[in-house]
Amino acid sequence: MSAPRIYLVDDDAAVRQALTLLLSTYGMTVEAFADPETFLAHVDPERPGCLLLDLRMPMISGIQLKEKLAARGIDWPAVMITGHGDVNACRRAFRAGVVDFLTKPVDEQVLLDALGTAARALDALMERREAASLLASLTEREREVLDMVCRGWATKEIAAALSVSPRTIDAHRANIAEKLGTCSVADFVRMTLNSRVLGSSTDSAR
Amino acid sequence: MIRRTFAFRSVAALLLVWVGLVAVFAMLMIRNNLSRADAEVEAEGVALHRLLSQRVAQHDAHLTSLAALVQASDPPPAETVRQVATGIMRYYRRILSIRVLEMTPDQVIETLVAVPGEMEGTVMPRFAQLVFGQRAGEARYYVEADRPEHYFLGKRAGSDRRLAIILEIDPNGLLTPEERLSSDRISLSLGPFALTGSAPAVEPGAFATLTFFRPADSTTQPVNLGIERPVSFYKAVAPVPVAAFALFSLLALFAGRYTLIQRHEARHSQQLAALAEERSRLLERETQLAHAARVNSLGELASGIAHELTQPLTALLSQSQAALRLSGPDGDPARLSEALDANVREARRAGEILRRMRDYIARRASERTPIDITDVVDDAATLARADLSRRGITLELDLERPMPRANADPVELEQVLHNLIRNAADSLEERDGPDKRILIRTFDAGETVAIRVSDTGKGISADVLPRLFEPFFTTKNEGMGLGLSLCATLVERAGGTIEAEARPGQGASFLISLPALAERRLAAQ
Repeated sequence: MSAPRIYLVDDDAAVRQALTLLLSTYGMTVEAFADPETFLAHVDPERPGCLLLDLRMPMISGIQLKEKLAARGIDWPAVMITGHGDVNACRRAFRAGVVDFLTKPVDEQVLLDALGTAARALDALMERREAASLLASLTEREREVLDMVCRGWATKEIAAALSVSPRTIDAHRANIAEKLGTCSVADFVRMTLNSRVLGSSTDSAR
Repeated sequence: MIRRTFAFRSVAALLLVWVGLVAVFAMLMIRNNLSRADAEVEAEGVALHRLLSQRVAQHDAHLTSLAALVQASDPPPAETVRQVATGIMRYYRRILSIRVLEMTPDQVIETLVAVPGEMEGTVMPRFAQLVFGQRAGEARYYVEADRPEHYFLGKRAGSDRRLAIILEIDPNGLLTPEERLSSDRISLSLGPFALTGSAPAVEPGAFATLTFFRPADSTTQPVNLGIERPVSFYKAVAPVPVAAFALFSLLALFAGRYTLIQRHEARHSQQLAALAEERSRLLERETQLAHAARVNSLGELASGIAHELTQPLTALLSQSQAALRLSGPDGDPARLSEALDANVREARRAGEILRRMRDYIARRASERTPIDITDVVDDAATLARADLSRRGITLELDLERPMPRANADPVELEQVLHNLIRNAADSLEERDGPDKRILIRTFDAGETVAIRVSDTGKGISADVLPRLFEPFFTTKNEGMGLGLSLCATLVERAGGTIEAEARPGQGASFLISLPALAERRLAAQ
């Protein structure tokens, strides 16, 4: 796991500076922003990272920020740190995509653990993204074939089911292996499942 | 007022009632006394009437017996008759004289017997002739006009001879003095002739006169018995019982009045007690409110301190942990000292926050001194500015100088301003948009000096406006609703006013007015 990129949003310059310094000693890349608007202005969907958010009004700003990010197709994991008392209220109001809620002042290890969790979540997310995009490159027929392969059917069985020659199925399988970058049936299954998890998790978040 | 309406509150009314009562009682007494006296007079009259009737009947009896005597022989036994007549007169003193007369055939009246003896030569009564004109055996009374104090009773007697017997009667002897009550006037009359007691009918001093009148039961001498009893006012009214009643009723009335007043005052004091209880309940509620305000402002303060200190503490912790890592074997001394510098800065910042808080919470009695409110606004603005700029809010000041001074507690006024600024900032934060401004303006308004705190937030809606300064009224999710209430309390304590100005669509605006000190006029001269 490579050190993830961290997007830090905190309105207090001193806190921004301190957290940036601390996290950089762990080799993390920290991009700090003073408020959600600045962050939204600079955020690039192609440069994924974990969000470390300190929002003055966590419920309202948090939900607003989440909606605006979602509008850009960004659902990166977030860690909330807040100086405001009622963490439970924040948690209830702003659950999806938030891996942890931390109260200020936040201890190094707690922060690192939370960010680690977020990083893993981001990796999983990226992997799913990748699988999904690879699967998306398949033609309809290829997806059909892949589906049957994943169910453990042999080439002959698939050919019989689709009323084509086994040779045609072999050609499809070769194409699929090329597009997905693997010829392992186990990889096929993992990617398919991942993409479904992604789909369902996206559904539930909406 | 209710308590004024009840009777007997005024002694004059009480006395009026009392006089009325006594008058009614006296009237009843008079009626009762008079009717009793009337019954007495009646009883006395009946008794006297019986005596009178008996006595006049005695005269008839004497006449009858004398008539029998004179007719017993012929000529009549004059000597015997005299003796008998003398005997009668001895026993019946009221019979003054007895005569036996005879009318001779030649129509001359002669005296046969006359008792007492000296009567013999006296003038024949004028009515003697009339007696002989009576039927035999008939008796009749006569009164001589020149001697009305006597009356005569003449009886015609004899069969062969024409005889007449005449009794002269003193009516005063009909009733003995002992038989008369001294207070009564008793008069006797016979036909039109008053025999006794010709005193005036009504005595001037008498309150009332009770009368009794009845003729004696006699055909020959129907002597009228008249009784008049003058009743004096004193007797009629019977002052002792009336006085007793007056005294008693006066006492009773005063006792009643006293009781009523007592009861009334008891009720009144009950009302007062209820009122006092109500007042103490209100006071208690006020105390609770003040306590709540205190607790709340303490809570707000605590949460404010917590929030303020969180930032530097977060920075300090993270930076120190970073510094620890930088001070390791493969550390970076340049970045380490940078981190430590930042730490020093943050620690100072925390200290500054604490100092400010200490100044803010330094609780003390309200100390009003002549102050320039512009200075206070300046101080409050300086304290708020850092926080506001962090929140993207601009604070603009429009301060008039020089400004007349006002008598107020600068710390309290700063608290008020702090509350208003914080409210404005909260309101501004709820809205998006670039124009987040708070404007504080001070100006001289003649009799008062004024501070206007306005913002470019969403403003105050009309339905909220009237309740704005009510304790526990809030539109904030986590507010207690005591901030503005406290502001009002503090401003009013300094003799000033605070009001919210309705400016729909223009953001909230609060105007604080404090009375300007008179010294400015002196200074102006």
